[in-house]
Amino acid sequence: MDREQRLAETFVELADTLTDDFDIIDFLHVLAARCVELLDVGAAGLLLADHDGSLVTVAASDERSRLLELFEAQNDEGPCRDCYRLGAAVVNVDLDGALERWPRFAPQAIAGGFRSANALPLRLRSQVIGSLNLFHLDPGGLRGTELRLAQALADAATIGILQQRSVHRGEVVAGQLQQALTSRIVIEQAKGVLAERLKVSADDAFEVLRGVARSRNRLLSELARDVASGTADVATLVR
Amino acid sequence: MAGIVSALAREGSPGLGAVAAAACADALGLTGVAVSVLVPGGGDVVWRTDGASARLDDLQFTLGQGPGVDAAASGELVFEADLEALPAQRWPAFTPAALELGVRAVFAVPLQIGVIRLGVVLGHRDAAGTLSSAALADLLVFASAATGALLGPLSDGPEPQWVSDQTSGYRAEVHQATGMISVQLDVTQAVALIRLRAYAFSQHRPLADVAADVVARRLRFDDNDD
Repeated sequence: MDREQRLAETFVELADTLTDDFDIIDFLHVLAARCVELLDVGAAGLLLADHDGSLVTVAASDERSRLLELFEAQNDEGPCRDCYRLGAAVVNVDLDGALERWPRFAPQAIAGGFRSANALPLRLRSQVIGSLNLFHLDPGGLRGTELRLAQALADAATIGILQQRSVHRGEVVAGQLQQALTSRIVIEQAKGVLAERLKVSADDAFEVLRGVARSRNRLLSELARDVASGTADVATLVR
Repeated sequence: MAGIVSALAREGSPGLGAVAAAACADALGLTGVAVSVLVPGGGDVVWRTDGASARLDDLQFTLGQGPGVDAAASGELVFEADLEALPAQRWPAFTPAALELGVRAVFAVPLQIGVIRLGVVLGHRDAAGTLSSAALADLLVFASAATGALLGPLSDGPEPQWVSDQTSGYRAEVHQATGMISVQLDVTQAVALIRLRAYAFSQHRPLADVAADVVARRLRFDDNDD
């Protein structure tokens, strides 16, 4: 499949936000994976701002804890923190040259094999609700059309999270953000249950969870809720 | 609100007892506020302002309807800025009774951590109108601090207690560890989280560090006697 075709398929896939069986975490996970394919980046993550301004990772192109920690480290400093604070895109920052700007984050990202970083705002009018984080394995970066595509994907994430074309009331936005953040915590709790029951790592537990959701045609968040609350029998699910 | 939140989270704090409900309501621009804890069969108010708050809770408990009931069941924010304008079928018995108490607007926030539902904060006001964005943000911050207070104290680290609580509140490993402990002890996620927090407190260690040990399988909860 060429790039044009993949792009078209991606936006058809993302239009699923409008259907009934929409699942926010699954949607954002797919979106992060498509960012990696379409933008030729090494890793992608979506972070949302909590009510007190902390940035929380809700989805990533891969769920290894080292990568998740790199996203989380940006609560102190890094491209996502800057993007959120400035309300503007932070693009093509060469990490080798960013050791002074981000003395803790930059070495950690370099140790993870990344060379440059981007953060694009998830924007609702003047409000920034989070950020799309993209890490390159090469020193290059996002060029003109890629940058526009990256912002389009970030906008798709915003629409998915808010699930409404026009959100006017602050409480609705706050409510949708809380739902997305709560869904992510449920996923983590379910990962813990699976890790312990199946004797796998927490990192692998996400793939198990997602695999079961796919094969049983269940919404990821609902399955995670059943697993975490103990209403789903894990042994039966993975049989 | 910052003072209220830090009082809630101070080491050795008696939890919600550390702050005056009336001061909290004032800070939020509300007439009254109450925190109720979910217990089998309904809610149990543990902390509230004087006046209509207690009656509002009685009403909801008796009628089985109202904003707090809906917030507890759905895990979502339930805000109604004008009860007089509310369609009667929403809460057919609750709404007229609340209006009779002089309550015009209600704001319910569930206290939850993933699948763990602990209770509800219910604010009310004697005038109609939505919350300002600043008051909304404060209400959510208060709800988060109240959630922490209900779960019991954490040990004081190098940073102020509530800061470490807030930042570790969403730390992925805390939730993963909670899930693992729930299996090890065959308990609910709520009990598992309380055990994890109690262990961290008793060992004077940051919650995130203990959680990391659990996830890395350096610490199990089913083979120690604490």
